[in-house]
Amino acid sequence: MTAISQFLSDLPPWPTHLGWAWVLITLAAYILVMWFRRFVIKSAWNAPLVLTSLLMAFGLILFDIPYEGYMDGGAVWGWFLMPATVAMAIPLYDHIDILRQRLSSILIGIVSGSLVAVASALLVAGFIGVAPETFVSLAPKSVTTPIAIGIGSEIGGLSGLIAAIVVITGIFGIIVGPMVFRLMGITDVKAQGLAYGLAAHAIGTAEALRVNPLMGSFAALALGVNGLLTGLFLPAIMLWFTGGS
Amino acid sequence: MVRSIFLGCVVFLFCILAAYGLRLLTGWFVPVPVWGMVILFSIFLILGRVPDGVRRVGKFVLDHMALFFVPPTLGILVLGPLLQTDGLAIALAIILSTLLGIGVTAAVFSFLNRRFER
Repeated sequence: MTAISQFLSDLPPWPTHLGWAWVLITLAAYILVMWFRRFVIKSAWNAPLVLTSLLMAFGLILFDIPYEGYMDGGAVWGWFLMPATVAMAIPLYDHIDILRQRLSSILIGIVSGSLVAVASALLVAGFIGVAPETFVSLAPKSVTTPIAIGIGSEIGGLSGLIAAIVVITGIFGIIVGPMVFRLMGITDVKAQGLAYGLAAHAIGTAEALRVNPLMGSFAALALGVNGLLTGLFLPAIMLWFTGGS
Repeated sequence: MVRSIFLGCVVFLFCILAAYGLRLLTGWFVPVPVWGMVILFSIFLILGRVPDGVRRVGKFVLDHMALFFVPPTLGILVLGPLLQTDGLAIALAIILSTLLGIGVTAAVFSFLNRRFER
């Protein structure tokens, strides 16, 4: 029963009248962006998330609306990241045959990529020197936002900073991905997909799906497995690392 | 069709509630959505397929994930002061670790794949 009460307390509070306006305005901005994208060549720069966020940010700044005020209604949409993350079990299950066939190569690839991504981010931050909450917020940067925020809040990161870091990582990843592959001579779409899903999470997976279905399936695989492994192990490692503070 | 979508929603709700339960039971620092993904995956394994309603609801939420990402992304608006002090470190960390993450994953996988599988 405690599980149900925790579920209920995690639900966004019922929005006020103004909050419902934010629910509708966010939806309207998203629909507008999706409509606009029918007329342009789709790329990393005009991903729906990028354009909708820019549009909303512009509006909030223009009318001087505090983020807390916006979240009165915004939190309603944010909650749906939970079922969306749960739904990633579907692409994962769809490719269960390839997953079984190449299990060792996939797992070793994902684990090494994931460790290198987390370690290098923390090394750079530790070397330059950042605030403790920035340090922890960088750790889950390669997993998709809902998981990253979930992990981050377990270990004391700032959810706004985590979300921003994760989104920027995803966009940067799909822009530099093709260059990295060309430089390293990697032509295997399976390897490319795995790298997109691992380093650029959901944004990378969407890009991989756009380029090639097989690439997309490997990206979904890396996204799911990386999210799962990071979700399972990173919080414990970070808590041990920071001394549980 | 309405019935299968309704059943799909019920399955998702069940997974999320069960995830909260598992998190409390185990006491591990595993985020609720990750538990939910594990539970849904287990359901598919037991059934041996993805039920139609679950696929419909799942496709819908995955297709429109960008919309759900917007509120947390806007959180960057309240980070002004933090970005002034840590902005450079954050940018460098993102650039380096994303490049390395892409390169290492692709290189390790294609090496092993060529080596062990024809």
